[in-house]
Amino acid sequence: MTPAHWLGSAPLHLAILRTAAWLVPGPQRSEWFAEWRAELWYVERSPAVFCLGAFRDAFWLRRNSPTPNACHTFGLESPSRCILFLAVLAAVSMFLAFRLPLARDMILPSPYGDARNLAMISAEGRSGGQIPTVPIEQFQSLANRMQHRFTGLAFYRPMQTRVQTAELSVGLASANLFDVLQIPVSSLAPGPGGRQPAGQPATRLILSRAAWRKYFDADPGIVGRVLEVGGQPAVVAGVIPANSWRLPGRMDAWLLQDEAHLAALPPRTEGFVLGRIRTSVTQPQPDARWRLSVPAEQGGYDRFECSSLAYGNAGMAYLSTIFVSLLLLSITTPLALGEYPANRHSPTGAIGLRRWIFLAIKLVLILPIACCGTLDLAAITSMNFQPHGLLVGLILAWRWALIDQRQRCPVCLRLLSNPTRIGGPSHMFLEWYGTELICARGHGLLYVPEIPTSCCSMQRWQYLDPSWGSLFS
Amino acid sequence: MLHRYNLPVALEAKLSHTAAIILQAIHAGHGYGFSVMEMTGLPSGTVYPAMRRLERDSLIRSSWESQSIADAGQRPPRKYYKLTRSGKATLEASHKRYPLLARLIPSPEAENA
Repeated sequence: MTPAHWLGSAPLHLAILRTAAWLVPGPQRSEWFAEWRAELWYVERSPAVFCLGAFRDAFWLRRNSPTPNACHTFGLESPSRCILFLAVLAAVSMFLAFRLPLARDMILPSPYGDARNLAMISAEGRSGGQIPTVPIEQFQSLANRMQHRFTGLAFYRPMQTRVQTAELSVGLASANLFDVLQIPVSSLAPGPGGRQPAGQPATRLILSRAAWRKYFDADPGIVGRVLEVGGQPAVVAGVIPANSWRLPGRMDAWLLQDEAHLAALPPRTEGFVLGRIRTSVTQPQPDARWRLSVPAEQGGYDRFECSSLAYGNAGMAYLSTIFVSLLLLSITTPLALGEYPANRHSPTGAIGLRRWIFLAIKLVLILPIACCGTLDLAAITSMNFQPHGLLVGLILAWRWALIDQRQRCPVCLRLLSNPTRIGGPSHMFLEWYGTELICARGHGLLYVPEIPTSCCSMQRWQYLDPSWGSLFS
Repeated sequence: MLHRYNLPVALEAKLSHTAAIILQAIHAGHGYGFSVMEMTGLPSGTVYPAMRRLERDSLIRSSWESQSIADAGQRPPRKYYKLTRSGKATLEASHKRYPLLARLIPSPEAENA
């Protein structure tokens, strides 16, 4: 299904409306949904865009709902529900990070041996994409002229072709591709029916583990068997380990061809080029990029961009981002949680400790949500914004944790409700003005000043004595 | 949010240009959200919240059409909006503020006149 078809599908529109409906306060929800669904029936042009407007409408209703605090809490009033929600979010983020191929690649160590000396070579100004950029004639020129810098250069080009009866994504590749990558290809023991015939074809086929399982039922005797690939015979030479292909192009198999076969391709056939740098040459830094110029056959120079396949130390990068986000947090929001004066109704040490543990759990759960969530988003959108995205995400998440903590009762940890405006700016010199919130279970009142003054510099909690209990029971 | 101390404020309703256009569209007979969208060219994310505000301020009122009418038309029942008395008064006041409004979306009375 193409993206255009997908955007035009009725189930998607209803799913958008149902998602937005969750933002609408319960008593109004069914009528709200019925109205939007009825309206959708008439929309012919850009129904998905029409449905996205439902979110703004739902947010408006949520903000203006007479239900106390309905606009802010999203059902997270209870501390246990809040922790459960964060835990589920963290679990989903981590699950997606290990399921989405691009995100998983960023987490797991490189499968390539000595990845510091591996480089992806692209045409100048076209690096980093999923589209082949180097014509095979330029690859041959590189292979001939750059032997002093590279111990090996490999070429591959993704294509869709028929292998036996299935349509597979096959990489047409130079014979040294897996030698350059230093990927161990497991040559499974040939089965009784899989003995290599005497006149074995020169073309070798390497299968991915996923394709071997899906299309050949994990047949241990597949190696040595001759398969028909795009009408030509090719012998299965092995199966590569799972998750060991992280280069551009999704592949089910690789058709390794000798130089003569590659030379027969049209000279402008574009593919991806990999190079293994000689150890005598200065080693590139992880994630480094550099330019390469090679004299062309027709005069002038062919210009390329090389990018290292070694990843930087992701752990250190994440730790430094977390540290910077904590520094920036103090600039963007006050860190003080408020005044909770001790009195005879004040909570015992255990209750006070419970409040700090609650905050600590929130902060700890935020880390996997922000780190893995950024990876997931980067993988879904195929955009490289992890450092900046993580920094922004962490600052927003830390801020939320602090704001949420300030708005909770120190005794029962439930979100406070019934915000009431008190006074006005003209009252500032006579008394404090701001917002008063109340614990629905009668544990106390929170005074939040609009402007910090000498008499009320930060929010202050007032415990209610048990005599108020009859009002809240 | 509650306000413990309320100061007297002017009760004269002043509509934004967008709200006035939507009110005029409803007055002109475009009685449901999508019709207002088509008439005004405003997106759904603007029209529906604006209609909620107008309804909250009692300038318009809504009612669902009966299921039998919808069934006869083989479509889901619509929610229709109409101007209230104060809505009509506000719209008339808005015509002084936005003189081109009535010419932009002529109401049935203006067309018959």
